[in-house]
Amino acid sequence: MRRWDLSQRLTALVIAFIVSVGALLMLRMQEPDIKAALLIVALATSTLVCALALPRWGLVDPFLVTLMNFLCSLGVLFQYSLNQTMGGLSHAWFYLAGMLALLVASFVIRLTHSFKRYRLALFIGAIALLGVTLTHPVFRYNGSSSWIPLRRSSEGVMLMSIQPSEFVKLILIVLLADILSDQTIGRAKRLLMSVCISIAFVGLICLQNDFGTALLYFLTALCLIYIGLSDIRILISGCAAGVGAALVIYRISTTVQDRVRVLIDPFKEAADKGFQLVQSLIAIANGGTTGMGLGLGRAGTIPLYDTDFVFSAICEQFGIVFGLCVMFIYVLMFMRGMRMAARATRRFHALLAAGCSSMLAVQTFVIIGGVIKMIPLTGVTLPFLSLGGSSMISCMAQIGILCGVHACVERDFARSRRAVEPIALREGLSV
Amino acid sequence: MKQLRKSVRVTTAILALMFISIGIYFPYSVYFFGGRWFARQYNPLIKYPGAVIRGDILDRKQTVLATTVDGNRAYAADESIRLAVAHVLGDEARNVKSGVETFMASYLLGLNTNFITKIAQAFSIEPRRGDDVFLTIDAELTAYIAGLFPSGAKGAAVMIDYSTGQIRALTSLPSFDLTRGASGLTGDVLLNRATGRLYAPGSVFKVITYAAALENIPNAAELEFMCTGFLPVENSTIVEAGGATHGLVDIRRAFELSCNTTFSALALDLNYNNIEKTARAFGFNEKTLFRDLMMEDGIYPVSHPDRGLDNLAQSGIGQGSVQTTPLQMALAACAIANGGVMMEPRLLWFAKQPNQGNFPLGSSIYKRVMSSQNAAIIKDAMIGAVQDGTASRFAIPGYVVGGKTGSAETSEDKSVPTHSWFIGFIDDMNHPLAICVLVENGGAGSLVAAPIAQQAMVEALRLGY
Repeated sequence: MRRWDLSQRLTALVIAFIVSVGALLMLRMQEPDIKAALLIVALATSTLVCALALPRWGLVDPFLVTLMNFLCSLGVLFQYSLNQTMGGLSHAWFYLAGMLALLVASFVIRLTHSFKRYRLALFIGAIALLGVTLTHPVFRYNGSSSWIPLRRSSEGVMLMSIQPSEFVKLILIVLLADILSDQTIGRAKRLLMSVCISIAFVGLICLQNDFGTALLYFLTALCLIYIGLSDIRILISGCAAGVGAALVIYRISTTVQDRVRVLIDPFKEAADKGFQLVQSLIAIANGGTTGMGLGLGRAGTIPLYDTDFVFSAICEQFGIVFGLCVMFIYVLMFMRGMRMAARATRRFHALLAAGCSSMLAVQTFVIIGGVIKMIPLTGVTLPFLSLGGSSMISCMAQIGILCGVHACVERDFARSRRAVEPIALREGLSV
Repeated sequence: MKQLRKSVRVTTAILALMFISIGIYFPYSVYFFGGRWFARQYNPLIKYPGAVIRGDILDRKQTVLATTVDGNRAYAADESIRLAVAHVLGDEARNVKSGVETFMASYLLGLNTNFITKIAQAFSIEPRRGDDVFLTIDAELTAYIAGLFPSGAKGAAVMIDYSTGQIRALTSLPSFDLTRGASGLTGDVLLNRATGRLYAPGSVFKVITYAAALENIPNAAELEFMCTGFLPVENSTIVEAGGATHGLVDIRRAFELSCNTTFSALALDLNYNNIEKTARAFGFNEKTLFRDLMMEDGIYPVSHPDRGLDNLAQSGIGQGSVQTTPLQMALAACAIANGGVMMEPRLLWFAKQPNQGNFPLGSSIYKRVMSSQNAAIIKDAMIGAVQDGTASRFAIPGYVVGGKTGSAETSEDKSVPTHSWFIGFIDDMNHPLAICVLVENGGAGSLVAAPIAQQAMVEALRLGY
């Protein structure tokens, strides 16, 4: 019963946060802001339902989902504070869509033990999704071709678009977890198949000129293959191959060269290539330890302040202490996911949980490390906080997968506890 | 399954380590570099400060250098002062990189206040007023020094109190009038040459070669060299200035006479790594981090693509690919005069909040550059160079002074005049002053830069420093 208490307390904290931040937003103008009030009610209700009702039906893991709700609420309220007209509210709708994706993913994982029959369909679907943007220059935007535009303004600025590589993440995790857990095929074949799939995906994303996402795919695939085959040599040779590929890409791509040069001294090209990073660092410095305050700050001057650089904007308004706390929440979620992987009784579930948690962790690391000038900057989103429907739905679906695994693991535990055979008991205890 | 769990744990540990590295690196970099990130002309907070009255900028004699009158920035009435301190202050639109207006904006805009004051300000109806900033420089002295340069000359001068690190004067030529703003001016005029431009130091770099020799060659003081006027290296020959030959000299005498062949031969003995170690102590190849100003970091070519002997021999006499700023050489003179200890150069004397006390800002040791024994040896040699050597024009009657001249070649073409360098100091704890003067393409250091430095020092003494 203790753990339930902890998640209950956590929920209360998150709701307190939502109400206080939302109230600040609501009262900052002369007239009370009705939209902000609605957001408070919606977010608080969703957090409560997720923490209290859904776990009873075995749909979600209350701890994980409450942490995620904290991040999502922060995202929705923060986006709303940056942009009252469209940004903040669209993030709220993405959150709703993501919630549905989460529940669907959780259901699917609970009902399915194997994706063996769908492997080929999933693979072809993924290749088609990734390949379609390469077929025509109409998909080219901002130097990479990773979006399918749905609506454009008259000046050709993309208003709404889908990023297929976000959804293919799910396919990559499911496909690799399924193949690597399949004991009916040989070890060498499993290795070969998963490596080929990973190379195909990573290669297509590199062709899209989206090296940040390619890095995510590569690292997640590496983690999964290493865990699935439990061989340290895979990890080492994978890292070596990755370094080699990075060097080749560095040679070919001028974008990557720019990013590395900017990392070394962003202020040298402060008005040009280093502009984004310089503004990001200035925002962090302006925020200082405790931040400038919600709604204050100059977030508007950071380019992409609502997507790639949302972490810098948060640091500007809330301070770096809060920024580090936000990062710590991601770490907690990652640890929770990896704990599920370690507790799982089936390989498939363990790999699914490990894949989703490491994908989210690597993504968080890559973008936070990029905006604070620790590693070269890449244009990936910060899960749950960056504005963007594809990213939001994909990340929440990954949490959904984790919740599904959690439900399966708990179910298996309950069964093994009920089992009276001493052998089964011993097996249950040894996990 | 057991193996799988083990690899899950390994993966968790690796990824957790990545986050721990952010957790360490992020606060570290904000703590040490946050001020640098903040004080940029691109910072919207500095560019558009909103409803705040900027604080005044004053020199150490309370001469107002910049103030706000009816919302506009007004500057000192004396034109020569305005021109002399233009680069130190920086223009209002911040076209000058890292002037006081930008670099000390956190004071001038009153952002360095504590939390309680901030809350009080939020409820106050009066417009916020920034802190007044008192600089360590003497504007009158600075204007005098700027006036010593030949008309139309480009160059820079830095005078520092070596016992505290306080900068007494810092000027860069050509300059511009702050009241007219900096729009339409070229980067060449806006550049602060004292801190922001790298030059070949020429013979003033010999103090560093000398220090490296004392540190690495056990009996360096007794070594004797035969100067025949030229020293052949692989593909080039080192020659003396003006075709002189110095005959049999020891290292000290060679320093006093600024003997090129001796110091190139020393460089060949010492090798790149040993000289680089000493040069690094003086701040070359390092990211210097001063609280009050930014300095381009000098370069000693240890990782230069052409690491041949020619370049090595050249590096011993401050040619080849060695690069530095006037401020850095002034700091080298300070360290030698101050017994091997480099004080942190300070430009900010104190900041004063409206209706409140001062932020007292003391002096602090930046680092120990070399042992006090070696510093004393080089100091004596520099004093010798004034008494009986190339720096004789720096002599000030009644004071013990030391100096080193430099004439840095900037072109293969001998008709292009050399950069004229001089570094020097007064060896007197009551008048602890060190100076560096650079005149671009001014000619011989001993003829052009040294007399400027001498007159500057005499004026500083007259003013009581």
